[in-house]
Amino acid sequence: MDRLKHLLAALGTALAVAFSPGASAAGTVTLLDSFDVIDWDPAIYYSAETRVVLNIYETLTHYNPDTGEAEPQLATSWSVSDDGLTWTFNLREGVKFHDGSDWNAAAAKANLDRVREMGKGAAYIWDAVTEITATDAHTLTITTSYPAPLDLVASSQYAATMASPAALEQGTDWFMEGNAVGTGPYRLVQWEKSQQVVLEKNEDYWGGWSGDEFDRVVYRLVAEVATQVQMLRGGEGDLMVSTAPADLLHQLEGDPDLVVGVFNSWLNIPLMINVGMAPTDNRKFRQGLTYIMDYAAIANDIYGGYGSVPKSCVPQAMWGSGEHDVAQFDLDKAKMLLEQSGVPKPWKVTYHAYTGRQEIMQIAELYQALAAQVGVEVELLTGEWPVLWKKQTKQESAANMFAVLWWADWPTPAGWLETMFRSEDPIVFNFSHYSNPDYDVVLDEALRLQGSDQAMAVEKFMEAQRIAYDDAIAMCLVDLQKTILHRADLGGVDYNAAYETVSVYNLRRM
Amino acid sequence: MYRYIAQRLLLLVVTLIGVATITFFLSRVLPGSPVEMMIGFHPTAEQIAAAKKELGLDQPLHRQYVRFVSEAIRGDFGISLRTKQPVVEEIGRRSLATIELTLLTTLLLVVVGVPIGVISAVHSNSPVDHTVRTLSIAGVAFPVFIVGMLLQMLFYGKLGWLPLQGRLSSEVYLDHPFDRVTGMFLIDTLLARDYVAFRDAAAHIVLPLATLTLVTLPLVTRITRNLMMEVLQEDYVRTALAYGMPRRVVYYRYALKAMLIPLMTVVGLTLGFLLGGSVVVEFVFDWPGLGGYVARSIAASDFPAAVGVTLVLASAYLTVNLVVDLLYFVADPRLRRA
Amino acid sequence: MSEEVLAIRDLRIEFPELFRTVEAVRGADLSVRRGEIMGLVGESGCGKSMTAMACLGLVPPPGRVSGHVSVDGFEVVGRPDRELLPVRGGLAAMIFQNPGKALNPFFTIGRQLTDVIRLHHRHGERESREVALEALRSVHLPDPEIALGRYPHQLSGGQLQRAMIAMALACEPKVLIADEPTTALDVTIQAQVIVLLRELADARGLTILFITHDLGVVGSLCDRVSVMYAGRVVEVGSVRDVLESPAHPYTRKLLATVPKLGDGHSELAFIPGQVPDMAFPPSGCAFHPRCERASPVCTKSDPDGRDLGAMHRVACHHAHGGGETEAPGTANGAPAR
Ligand SMILES: Nc1ncnc2c1ncn2[C@@H]1O[C@H](COP(=O)(O)OP(=O)(O)OP(=O)(O)O)[C@@H](O)[C@H]1O
Ligand code: SF4
Ligand SMILES: [Mg+2]
Repeated sequence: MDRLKHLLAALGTALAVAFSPGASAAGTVTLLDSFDVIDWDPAIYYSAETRVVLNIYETLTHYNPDTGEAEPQLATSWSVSDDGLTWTFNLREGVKFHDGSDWNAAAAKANLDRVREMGKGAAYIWDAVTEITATDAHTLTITTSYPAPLDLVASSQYAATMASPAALEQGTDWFMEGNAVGTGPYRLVQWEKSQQVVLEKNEDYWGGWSGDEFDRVVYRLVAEVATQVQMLRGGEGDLMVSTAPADLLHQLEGDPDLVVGVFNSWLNIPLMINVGMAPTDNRKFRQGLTYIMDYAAIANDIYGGYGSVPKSCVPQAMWGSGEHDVAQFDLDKAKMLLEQSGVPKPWKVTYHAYTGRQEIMQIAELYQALAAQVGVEVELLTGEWPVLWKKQTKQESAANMFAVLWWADWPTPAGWLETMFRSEDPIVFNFSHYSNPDYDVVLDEALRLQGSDQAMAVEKFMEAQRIAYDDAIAMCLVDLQKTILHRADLGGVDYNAAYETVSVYNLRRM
Repeated sequence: MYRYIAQRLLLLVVTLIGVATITFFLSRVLPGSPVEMMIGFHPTAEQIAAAKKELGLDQPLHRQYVRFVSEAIRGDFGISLRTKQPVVEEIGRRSLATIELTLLTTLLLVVVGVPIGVISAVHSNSPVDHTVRTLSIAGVAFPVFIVGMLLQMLFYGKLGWLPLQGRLSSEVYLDHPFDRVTGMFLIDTLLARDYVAFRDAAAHIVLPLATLTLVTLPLVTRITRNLMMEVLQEDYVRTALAYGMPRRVVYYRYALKAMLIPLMTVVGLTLGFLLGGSVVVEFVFDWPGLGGYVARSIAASDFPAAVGVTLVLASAYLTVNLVVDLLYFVADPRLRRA
Repeated sequence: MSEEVLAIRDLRIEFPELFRTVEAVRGADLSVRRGEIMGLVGESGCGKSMTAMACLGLVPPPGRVSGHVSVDGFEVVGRPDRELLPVRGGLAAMIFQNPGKALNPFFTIGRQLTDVIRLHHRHGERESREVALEALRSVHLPDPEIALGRYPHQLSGGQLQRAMIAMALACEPKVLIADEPTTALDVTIQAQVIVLLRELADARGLTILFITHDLGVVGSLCDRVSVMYAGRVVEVGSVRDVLESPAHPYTRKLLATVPKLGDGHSELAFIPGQVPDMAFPPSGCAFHPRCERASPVCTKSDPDGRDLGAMHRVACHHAHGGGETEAPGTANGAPAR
């Protein structure tokens, strides 16, 4: 009874004051995101978590997209033995984790050993490694069974971030409760599930502070893009971490309060052609199919100009992509090749188009319309991504064609040329079911060389691509750009194709 | 009566077992690839095999079922594949957010919708009645998300009176921690005597509440009107009037009492419907409730979550039904067997 | 001459509908004198119940009422609801066809009786209970104390009708309007209720307007009877006059269809021809499409009532035994439409 009275009294007092929504508090930057963090364990996370955790954790090296090379971060310098099998990293001194413990070679070893032992997420990037040794407090030695570009591997946004050894001791369950202890500029202070994640400035950050950075970062979880835009306009949000659809960005062009940042990315869309099922088991026929696509329309209309016609199935922003004769729109040539193929009419192909991304569907419909003009009937089969993925890996349930949005885990063309094109058993991502020993031999050479001689590796990657494109196992549909919508008064918005995040350390209120 | 209750409880348990079994088998038979969902975008073949083993999916179906049942009995529905959080814990947290919203909505529906329906029936064919009926038909025609977004545009975009989404402001989450005693923020903040947080929680619930109420109101109003019309046709209403009982008393005491019984069913059904059916509202307003969890779990083939939440919703629904049926006994002397 | 307790003059009740107007009652005249039992008979839909409801000012919307109804000298038509509350139950109390439905299933008999009693007398709770008990006793309901605590579903139809009558008596009305109070009961119970009403009329001088389909009951219970057709009273007189020498062709038809007078359950049987559609009643005398005696004048003018004997009035151009010429043998049931 007392409690009830209490409640009623409180209700009265509380309602007496009116609500007034306001802009973000000074010193706080609010980033709007549509996905909650799922995996907090640095050895496991393998998805959109990077948006948050890459502001908490750091890696040994950091990829520079302009040079295509690794630069120092938690390691200050490194060297590799002449045989390319032994790497020595000199670690930065005086760095502390958020829990106050020291960053040193033992910590680095603990992280990498744990990743390799658990074998989760992107752990495969360390496959070449045989042993990791803490030679002294600040020297880490890693030996590999074959030459691998460990300086680039170490810059990966997955499976390469460094957490405090004390945190690692606590284990996955502890991480999953919403814990993170890194060396980065911000530390985790709150995870309100499905509502928000909050980070605060790490005063002792080794990189130092100039004073005008943000003290607090709020990742506010907002499912609807339309709602996010309203919050940006209302000043409640500063930046949209999720990518807004191109048509929306164009609508907002006239808004003086908002700015669209456009950056190079490693996102592209290969349209895989199944070589294991009729009629696409016919090479000429496949070649014909590749000419039936208005590539410019994808870049300019479907992606509203935030994309470009590709020159390779590896994005141009990635080293080793090169320029190839792909993405040519020519219906006459298509028709000629199809006729020459000897595939009896009527020509009919199946096409897997997954739901949830309107552009994937629009591309499929565009292809269907164009193919009809040269007498190819395209049957669209739709479904959720995981469903179609699984279907495409089995020849009984696969379609002739399957377009997928793709990116690389770490800075290497292998993210496409190995993961999607190399022979595979069982099939995971080789949606073309392509198995060509010639291709495999050249590619394997490239993979071996990328650890020691990048120039030679590039040449081999080129050769491998020529084989694949000649076999017409995929159409390279579009190279995408990363767009970031933010308020005009937010400065320092930058994007590095190797890291799916916005670095809050660089942000300023202007 | 006790016998009846016992029978009903038994039936409830049997139904739940049935629901659990059906959802279990459906979730295993339907296409979709929970494993791939669970391990992210670029797994290796070994990782997929390992995950299958971890989930017990390498076992024959009947083994999986036995394992599922024995764990479910212990209240363990496993870990969600999508959010990787324990299903039971997440359902617990989210159902309280949903209950807060749906109970308030139901309350509003009863306080606002029922009187409108009664007035509409009592003054049937009057201008009031016509207005109510026209509005309620128009109201049904508006999709939920349109109503929600219009309210957002008006009260956030134009007027700036109310917050747009979420359960609390970022600053309040951060700077006004309070004990989650009940999981319903309006109550918890008051118990903590944190009026700033309460005000914030109240401001945040207004728009989702209004949306949910507005879209359900026409239905409740119409059903109430029809029920009341029916009761007003009853002979005993005529009797009461014929003996000089003032209309006010007849309508609002006698007739309402008779109407309350079918109305309880309606309210019960509405409550059940709201519990699972507020998906869109939860999505539009980022209300961390059960509806969004259900929808996303199913879309993502997250079967531990889908099975868990189906069971919870089914139990809630059945329980509400049971309670309504028992209230019948209390309210209607004809059912109380002498 | 005894005084009129219920006087209805030129009563008209219309229900406007979307494209037509139903004329439920079309100028009915009726008078009930103190202490008498007046029967009101007529085919289904001829307006008996509406006439009764008009006495209480309870014609349901959208019904429009005009003419005069005075209950114990109190003019009812056109009065606001508030002024009518004392009339309802207090001056005229009504009992209905289906006692099982006419009582509220959610309240005990006692509660319903005392509620009504307290509306009409300034009694306290205990006194009201006494009055209720007394009323239940006077209708010979067994175990009245127990009955007070019972819900309607726990009593039989006959017991409920007794309870309804008790409720009416407890209000001490000037007139009891009984709208087919026995129709829904089985034969033996019907007879008991009739006996009870007769007894109450004799013992208390209760005035009753008794609406029925059953001419046999009229013969055994009523003093006078009014015959209604298509919203008008076409013949009125003592039970003896009307039943033994009916003057109106409709009344004769009614009687002809009764197999044997006074056998207790002689429902109004089928009369050839169609019951008129009250939205479009026939011109002139509304009965003419079904009347064997109809003549051209019947299709044009609606006959006024005229006196046949001291107490016997009829509204017919060619009434039987009224000195008129026999009907021209021409018009035997002109097509109804
Ligand atoms: N609400 C209403 N709207 C339209 N017409 C009505 C309404 N209520 C009654 N009527 C009409 O009024 C006429 C008289 O009805 P009433 O109930 O008085 O007949 P009745 O003589 O009592 O018949 P019964 O023997 O079947 O009880 C009927 O034709 C009926 O259709
Ligand atoms: S004789 Fe004429 S007036 Fe008399 S009842 Fe027949 S039709 Fe009517
Ligand atoms: Mg009637």
